[in-house]
Amino acid sequence: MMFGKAQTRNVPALAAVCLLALLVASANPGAAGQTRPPPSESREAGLQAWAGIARVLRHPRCMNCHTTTNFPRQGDDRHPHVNLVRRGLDGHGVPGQMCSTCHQTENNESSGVPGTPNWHLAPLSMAWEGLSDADLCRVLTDPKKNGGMDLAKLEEHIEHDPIVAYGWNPGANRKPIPGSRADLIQLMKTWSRAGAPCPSRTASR
Amino acid sequence: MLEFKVNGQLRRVDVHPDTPLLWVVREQLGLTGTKFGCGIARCGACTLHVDGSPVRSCSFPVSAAPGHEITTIEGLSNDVSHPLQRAWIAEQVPQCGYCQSGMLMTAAALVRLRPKPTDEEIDFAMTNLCRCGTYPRVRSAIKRATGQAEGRG
Amino acid sequence: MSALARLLSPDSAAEGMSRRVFLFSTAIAGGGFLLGAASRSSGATISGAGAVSPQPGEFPLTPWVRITPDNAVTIVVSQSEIGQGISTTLPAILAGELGADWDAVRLETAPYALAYRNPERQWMFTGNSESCQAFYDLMRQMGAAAREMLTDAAASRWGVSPDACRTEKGFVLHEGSGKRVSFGEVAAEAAKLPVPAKPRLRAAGVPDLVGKPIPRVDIPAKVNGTAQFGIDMQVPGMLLAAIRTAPTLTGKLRSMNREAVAGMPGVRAVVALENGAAVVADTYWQARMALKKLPLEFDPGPNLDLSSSSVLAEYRRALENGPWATPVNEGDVSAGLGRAVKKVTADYESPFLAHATMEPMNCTASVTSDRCEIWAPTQGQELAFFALKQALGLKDDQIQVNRSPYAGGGFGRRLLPDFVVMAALISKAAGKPVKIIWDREEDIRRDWYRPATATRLAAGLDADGNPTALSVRVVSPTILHPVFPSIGEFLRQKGFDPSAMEGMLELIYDFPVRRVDFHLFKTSVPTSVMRTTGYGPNTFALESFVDELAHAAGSDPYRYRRRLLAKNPRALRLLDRAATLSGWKKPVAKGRGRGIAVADAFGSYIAQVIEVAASGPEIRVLRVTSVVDCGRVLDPVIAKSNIECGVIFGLSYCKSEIAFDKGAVVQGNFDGYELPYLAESPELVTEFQPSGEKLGGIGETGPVPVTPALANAIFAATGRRLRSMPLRRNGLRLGFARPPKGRGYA
Repeated sequence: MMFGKAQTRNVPALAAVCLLALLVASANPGAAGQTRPPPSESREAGLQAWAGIARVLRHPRCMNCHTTTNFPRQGDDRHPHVNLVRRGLDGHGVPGQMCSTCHQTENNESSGVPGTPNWHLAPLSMAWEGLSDADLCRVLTDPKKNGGMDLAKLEEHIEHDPIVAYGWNPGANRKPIPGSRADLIQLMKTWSRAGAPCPSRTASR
Repeated sequence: MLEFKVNGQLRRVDVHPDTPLLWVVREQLGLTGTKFGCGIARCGACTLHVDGSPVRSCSFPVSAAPGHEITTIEGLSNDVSHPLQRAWIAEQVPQCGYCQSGMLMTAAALVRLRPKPTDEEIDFAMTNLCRCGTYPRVRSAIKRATGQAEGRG
Repeated sequence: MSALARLLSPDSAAEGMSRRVFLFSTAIAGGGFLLGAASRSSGATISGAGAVSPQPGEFPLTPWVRITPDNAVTIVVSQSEIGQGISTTLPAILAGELGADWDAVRLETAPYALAYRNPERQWMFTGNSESCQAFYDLMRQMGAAAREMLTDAAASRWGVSPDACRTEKGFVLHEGSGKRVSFGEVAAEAAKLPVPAKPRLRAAGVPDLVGKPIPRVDIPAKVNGTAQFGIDMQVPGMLLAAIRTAPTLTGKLRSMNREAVAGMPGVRAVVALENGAAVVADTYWQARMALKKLPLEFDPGPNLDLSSSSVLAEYRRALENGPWATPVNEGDVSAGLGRAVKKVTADYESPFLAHATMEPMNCTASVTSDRCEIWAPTQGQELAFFALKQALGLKDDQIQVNRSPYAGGGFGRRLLPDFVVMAALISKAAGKPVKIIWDREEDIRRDWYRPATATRLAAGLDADGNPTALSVRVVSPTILHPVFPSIGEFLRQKGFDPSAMEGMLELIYDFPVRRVDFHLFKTSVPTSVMRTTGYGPNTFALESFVDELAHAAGSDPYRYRRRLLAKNPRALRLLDRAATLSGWKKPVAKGRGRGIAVADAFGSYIAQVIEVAASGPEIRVLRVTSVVDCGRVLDPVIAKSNIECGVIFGLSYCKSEIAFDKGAVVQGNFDGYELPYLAESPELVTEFQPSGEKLGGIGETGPVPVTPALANAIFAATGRRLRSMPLRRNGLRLGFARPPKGRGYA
């Protein structure tokens, strides 16, 4: 994706691209690089915010469903999901054992099974396991990988998607993500306003 | 008061909304074919269908039932005529039989989507626990019901 | 008779019990009613818990058969149907001898009554894989007796000799004249006749229905949701109870605050138990929700320092120091070991295991000041009867112990009366009929576990690698005492538990000298009988050790066993057949291995070969080949099912164990106590080689060789000798029998 590469090279060029993007935003919302306003936060602030976002994304409550494998993981020790659960063709499980076989639209107190509307695995394009901060950033912001989300939609997803809410309200004995969803939203805004910078690949995690 | 269809009939129950559908089906509706085994969605003895999809009813609150069609083992057929039931009898699958309602409901959901399931598809659909160890026969019966040659074991 | 049977002969049965076999006894007062709808599909059907006393219009011919004027034949099922198919086989023997129409026979669960006692043990129970052995003759006699009563009545009516009459499909026929009359038409007259003391059995030797596969009578109801288990029982006016007992094994209830929940919806009573509490409500979920809110305080009891490691340390101490009883002492073992060229010693450990029947413990009880009636998925009606008598202080004729038509698994757990007495006490306190349901956590934590065992074996080998002596030490808690209380005196005097010694008292192998020492281990962990009894851990130790001897002798494990079985042609035949059938001599691929084990258990012989593929921590069980000699096969499909499902059950013994920490059981549900998955199940090859010897049992036989055969296979595949189970103790786990490959699966 263009803006990703541009970031590491040429800030003024990036700014120009972003301005252009803003102008064509309504006509072409799918091209993420064209929908952002000019950066109102520094790149450093953005990268710092990104580090905080990455920590959240790496938390087991998120990472357990953003796996590179054909199965989800469970628990803080991230063991393979019990009951031989498998991804299936579209991340909703396999015939005979769908995610919805056990997971309903809310956490179930009596069985201890967590739930949100549309419980499912993130697609393999959104697999986050084993990625550096730099690569994680690129995957997150690539509409070809993230289900066609531009930055606005990404913020919308983080802010409003019920499945994301799970991270802070996992039920049973599961440890929630430290902080709050509001904290993450704030980090997202800072990062976004900085132009959604990704750390360079040579930067350490 | 909650109202929903069970085995084609509209039923009405007056229970706490958090009550698992399992216990409503067994007690208020008198359909004891669906069984309690663990209460934490690990064993599958409580499996029934919600709009044709397999659901472990110990983990499904009755409050989520209205607007959906519930099918229990009693609704699979009214005369043991479902091909899976016939195959289960032909292969003499059950030992104690307690897990078999859930086993059949899961198998029924599998074969609806996979009319000729492979061994692999059977492996990952049929995660219902059977203490008595009838698994190889479950596999054979599914193959038999779906017109496939007997699998190895 | 097996060593165990000798030890448990009727002379050692419970004091005060009459030892005579009644051909026709007066029933314990009944008056119960038929429970549950009997679904009529193909074949006979079974209904639950009726009274011994016949219904109006029924004519009893012996306590086992009742016939109505319109020719409905009801056969009483004494043994608990726990999945082994006994509710088909025993009635079929009787029906075959009688000449009834099997497809129209109705079956009824027996209440507790003396007539339904195991005739060899004079005790009503289902267990020890002995129902067929114990009841076969009685079923034939009862069928023949009823047949003679009917033919006598018909012959009398016709003025012909009974010898010229025969029975077939519910009719009495006179050969000469072609006359026929239904059982129903002559039932009233027949019932007036005395029950023949020595009825003649059918000349053919085996009744019509025996030796061929009969579709199990309970299976149609088990595939359409109508089969009635204990947990499904309904009694008019019944309430439901949820139970919570102390988290520690020996904990007691200190206090509870019933006011906190008394006003909750549906709550009818809150009952204190010695070690917990029960909430009784209109529905189970109401009871459970209130129980969750009920403030409960427990005294933890004296065993807070009980943990898996503390218990294991005690076992190991006992294994070193004894003291010992010596139930087997054949020849001079020290001398035998002394002249050995090589000595092999090994210690084996088997874990505590939970029964974890898929249907958790439950019981329905209706108790008033002068009457107690219970309905339970029990294997032990007689023990339950006496336990209730003791707990409630009622007289014999005030207690009725009914059994639900089906139990969702037994494995020996349901021999115990604890959950029955609990239900009765709660019903009494609540003043209403109550069904108690244990949740899975109660079921696992209030089990009577398969006891752990520590075993030390030492053998000497001569220059040819043949054993010169075998010395064994077994450390085990009691298996029998909780289910057979009268064994207490024997345990005190002799210092060993006969069931915990099974598989060590008599060996299939020819060891020139042999000694077995036993230490009766004392522990606060409740232990009792579980499927495979002492045969399980003892066979694991012995068959693994024989493999070690083979290795020390530089011999293939199969060929080495051939040597040791030279004087046991029956076992040798099976061993050879298992080797052939499993392709033992064919080379295995790298990372794969085969293990073999042979046992004489429950009156039958079994030889088993397991083939595995090992890769890192993962053990894939590819195939299990079993060859069984149970003397005679009464029903080939039922027999095969018992063995094969038993093999899968045996794998569960290698997968999980019960652990302790701070006086409590660690596991509580199937998340901690995992059972095998279908995907982990191997291919099964099973064959019967009936030798014509005495009828043996098969209910527990299948799992017996699994643990050692698996351990031996792992040794063959990896060179690693497992001296303990489950696999996880050795850093191993079960893998898929077939590795997944497909998209979305792998």
